[in-house]
Amino acid sequence: MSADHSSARAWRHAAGVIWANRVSFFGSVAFYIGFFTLVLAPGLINRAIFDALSGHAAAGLNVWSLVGLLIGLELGRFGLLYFGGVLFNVFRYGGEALLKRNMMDWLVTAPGPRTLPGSPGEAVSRFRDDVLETVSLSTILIVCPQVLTGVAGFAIMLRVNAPITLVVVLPMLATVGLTYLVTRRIQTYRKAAREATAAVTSFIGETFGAVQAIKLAGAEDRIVRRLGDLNEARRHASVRDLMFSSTLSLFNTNVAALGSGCVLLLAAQAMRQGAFSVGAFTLFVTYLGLVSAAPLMVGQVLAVERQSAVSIGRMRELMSDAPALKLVSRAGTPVRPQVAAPLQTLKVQGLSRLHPSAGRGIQDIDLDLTRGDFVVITGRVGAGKTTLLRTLLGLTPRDCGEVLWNGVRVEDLATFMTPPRCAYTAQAPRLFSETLRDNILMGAHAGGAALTDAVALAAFDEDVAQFDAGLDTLVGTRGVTLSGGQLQRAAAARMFVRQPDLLVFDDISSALDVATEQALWRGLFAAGRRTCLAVPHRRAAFARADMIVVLDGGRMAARGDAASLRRGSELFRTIWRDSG
Amino acid sequence: MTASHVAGGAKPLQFGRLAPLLWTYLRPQGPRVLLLAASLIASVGLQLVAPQMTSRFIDLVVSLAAAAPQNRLLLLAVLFIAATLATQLVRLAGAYLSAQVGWTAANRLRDDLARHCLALDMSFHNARTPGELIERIDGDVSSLASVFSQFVFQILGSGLLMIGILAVLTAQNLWIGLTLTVFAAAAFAILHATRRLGMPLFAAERQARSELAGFVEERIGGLDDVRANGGGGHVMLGLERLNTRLTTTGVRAIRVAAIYIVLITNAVFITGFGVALSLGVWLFQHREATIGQVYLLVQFTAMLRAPLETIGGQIQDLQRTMASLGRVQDLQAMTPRVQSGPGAAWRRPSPQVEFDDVGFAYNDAEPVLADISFRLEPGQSLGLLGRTGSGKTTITRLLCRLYDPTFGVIRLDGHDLREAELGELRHHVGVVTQDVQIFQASVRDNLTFFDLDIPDARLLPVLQDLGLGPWLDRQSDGLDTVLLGGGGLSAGEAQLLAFARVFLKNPGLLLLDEASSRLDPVSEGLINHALEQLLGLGLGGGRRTAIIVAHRLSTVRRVDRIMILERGRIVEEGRREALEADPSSRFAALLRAGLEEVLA
Repeated sequence: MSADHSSARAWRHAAGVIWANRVSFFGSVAFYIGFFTLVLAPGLINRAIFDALSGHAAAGLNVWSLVGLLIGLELGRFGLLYFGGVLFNVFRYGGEALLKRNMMDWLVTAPGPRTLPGSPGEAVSRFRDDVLETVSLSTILIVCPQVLTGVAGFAIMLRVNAPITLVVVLPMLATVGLTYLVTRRIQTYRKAAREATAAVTSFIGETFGAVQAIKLAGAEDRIVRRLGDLNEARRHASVRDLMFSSTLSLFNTNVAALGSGCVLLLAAQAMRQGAFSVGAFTLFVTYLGLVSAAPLMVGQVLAVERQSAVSIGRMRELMSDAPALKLVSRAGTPVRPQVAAPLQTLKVQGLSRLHPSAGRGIQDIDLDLTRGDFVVITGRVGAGKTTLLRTLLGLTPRDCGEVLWNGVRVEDLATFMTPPRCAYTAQAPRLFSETLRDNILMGAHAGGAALTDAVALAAFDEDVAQFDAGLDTLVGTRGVTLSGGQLQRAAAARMFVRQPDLLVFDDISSALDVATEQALWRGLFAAGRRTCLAVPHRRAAFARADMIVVLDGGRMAARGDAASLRRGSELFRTIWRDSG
Repeated sequence: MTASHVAGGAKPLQFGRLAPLLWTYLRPQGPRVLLLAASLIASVGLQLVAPQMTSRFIDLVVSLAAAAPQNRLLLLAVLFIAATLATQLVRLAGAYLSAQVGWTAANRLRDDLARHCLALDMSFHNARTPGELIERIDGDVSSLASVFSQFVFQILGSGLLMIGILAVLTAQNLWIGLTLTVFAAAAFAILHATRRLGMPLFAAERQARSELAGFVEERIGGLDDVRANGGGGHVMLGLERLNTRLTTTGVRAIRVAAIYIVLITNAVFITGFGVALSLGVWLFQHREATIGQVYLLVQFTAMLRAPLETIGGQIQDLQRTMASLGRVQDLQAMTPRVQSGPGAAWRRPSPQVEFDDVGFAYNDAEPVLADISFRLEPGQSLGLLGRTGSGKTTITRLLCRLYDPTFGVIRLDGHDLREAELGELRHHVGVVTQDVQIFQASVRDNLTFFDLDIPDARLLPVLQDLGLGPWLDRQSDGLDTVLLGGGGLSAGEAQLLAFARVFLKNPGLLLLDEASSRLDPVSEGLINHALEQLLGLGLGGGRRTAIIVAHRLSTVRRVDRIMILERGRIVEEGRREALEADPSSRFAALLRAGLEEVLA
């Protein structure tokens, strides 16, 4: 991606953040303009005071009223800073919230499959550091009136003594050019530092997601050593990033300091001739700081622009194919109303998906479901069973193939294969740290009776009755306070409560004992035939299936009911034999 | 949301609490810290010298008029430039040193905290999301990192500069010096008195941030579940709630802190400046000071503002920092209930296991296990059956000391389990659970848990035995292939990988908890075969002691003993053959049910 392109994108995002929070932004800009205008006052008043003291007094103001004026203006200035600062932060938090909201909104509601670039822990750093970095491009604009102060200061100095001003100030402009030249380097170093940070957060996240396994393996020391290595890599990258920007700003400051020295050299002659007063000298020394801050500010804006371009890139990586300015949009993802008649038939034609990394997946899968069918997918480990379900649900991209709902081609599987048409229980379902009720409902508008029915259908009612808080039990991180079987049935209840046309479940009973599993199957088939697409490992399910599809190496090896497959498929015979 | 501590941040702020931390993490970097201090003093000295040169310059120009020697003026100008350049160089060195010191110290603190957290009990981890721990180990420490570098460099440096300025001014004129000293002291006193006001608010902000991080990590980890079940709106509502809380707490903290730091401090300081300036003017009018000295007064007073503002800003940062420090110290103060014992001799490859009237409850809740007593001889295997939630998994967790029993004693070879050294215990106990955690790391690291001492020659045969050979052949870089959060690895393959981990460890006591539930029947057959080799099942036994939690009867068809649990109590226990032969036993009934299942 070209630098210009990414820089334009950074500014468009900044504009989006500003517009979404325009009241606090322009409010704080107004206060800061007041604050920075008053910055000019001390220099002018100091000059008047010193001129009065050294006998060059021009105006009729006496020294004491000047001192009073100076104090009054300074007090007012910090009053403005207070209000500006508070609004500044209202804006900053508002901008942060906007970016996070849009990123999450895209992840959970937008069409198309989501492929995350890293672990969830790694994504946390995109939600934290990259968001702050991006907002900083718009917050730095709030303090930009400082540049105007510098320009005004420059004009005042010009009027006092043009030659000295020009000699002293012009070199400062060089710093802007220098900053611009090294922006690409800034970007590279910043990117490396961000990536090193993300590697650390990702590893910490993975570590504490796997804490039980680590304890049981006695691997604590090795994990900490690995974390230490990642931390060291991050230290190198961060110090390099920091020192590069420090050196750059130091160069700018040095130019200002050299400027003061030049004033001394040049002023000596002029002062003795009376062409340059002591008051003018103090004005110059005061204003040099202001004027040199202006190019510094421009340089900083450029640097922040680079850094925010990196961060925007990283956030957009998380959002894969989101529209250009989705990050700063003020409306949620438009939900296309998906009207479809209740399921009569579902047809899958030539569905294919190859995992780019491992070179395997599914190829040329055809399926036919009619309302009320119980269709089973089976095969060995790695045969592509889960991939088939996830591709059909639009959770993973498909390379080719069609899905027809009642004969009509489905455009976007990810948003279509959702309630009320379809619901899903994953092989290792995830619950969240909320109450059991919130986990099962997950936003579904279901009455108490529907909820009770779903829990009972999942054969989960007895367990829930035993919990002290019933459905209000907090399930802990990822549902850890539940047993494996309870977690699986809570997820099944979450699927049932949505009363979808099509139930898709992956290995729903792996953690269930025989009696509980039988209760689950009984319930499922008792209340009228439901349409199901399932990956089971038990004979009980095979025997009930209307159709079994046997996968081998991602391709369909055989299909038919249990009886015919036991006659016709060697692979299925092995599966059947071992599944007792 | 998990109820975590906010309390830590609300403790009164005491610099004393920082001292041990600074000592622990800065001491190992002694030479660097000394260099940092030296650069600090040099930079303060240089900053004090430059304005005095200007002051001399003005006096020379004004008083000597035409008679001023051009050479001395030039020399002053050149010296001034040299001093400012030197200041910047010293500052650059200081910035470099302080960054190195800060990062090194913070990294060591991160390592220590991570090690500490890993040692904490499972009940601690069950109440916290990994995202929240990212914020506590990385986020909180990052804000502490500034203490190690900025705090020392900026606050001490600014303090020194202030003292230097006041000293020079006092030397020039006692009254000016004293006046400014009084006002600087007043400004300081006010900062000191008000600095703790914002702290609990910043602690609340940090807490809101870490809960937000936890929320994000959890939801992104469960993205499939959310999307395929139409839970997006619910997630967005939750995010919005946390966003609002973060904004509210953050803005409130800033508002309170800024009243004191921006308004009051500056009011005091500006008043002081006014008094000093008036004094200077008065002294000049009464011929007590030269115009150069008045200039120096104005210049130095302006210079006084910078350190004061730095200290103010740093103290605001410090309030956040102390909030983080409180949270870090809260974490450090937690001690695991499960403590390593002095170590009991591990006498033979496979131990005898004995539960003596064991009872257990998680967090004072209903007991999960009660009156559990049984004995398993060395080399015997036990099949553990029962409905979900009946306490089977808890028994395996007690055996590897993820928890300790609430009542009763567990013995290995006659020794109380609590006497064993944790590391040694877990070295000899192999556990495979239903959930397998895969790191975003190479296949090799995932197998060995980052143990570099295990040669590939040991890894490859194990993978072959478990039928993972063809899978490995498909990986682009073999053992070096990086596994990405489960992509390209099916749940069944992950479970096979977990078996490989245990096979590499070759433990004396093996605990399998639903270990093969996600495997297809064929792969399960492969594993059962490998397990039978490992355990010596059906071969006269005797090689490893094992407890196998199972839902499928096929998994326990060759074990020595069977135990059935119901609501945390043993309802049946005995030799497998005996139970099979007894038609009135529950085990026999289960076998019949299993048969019906097949016939259904």
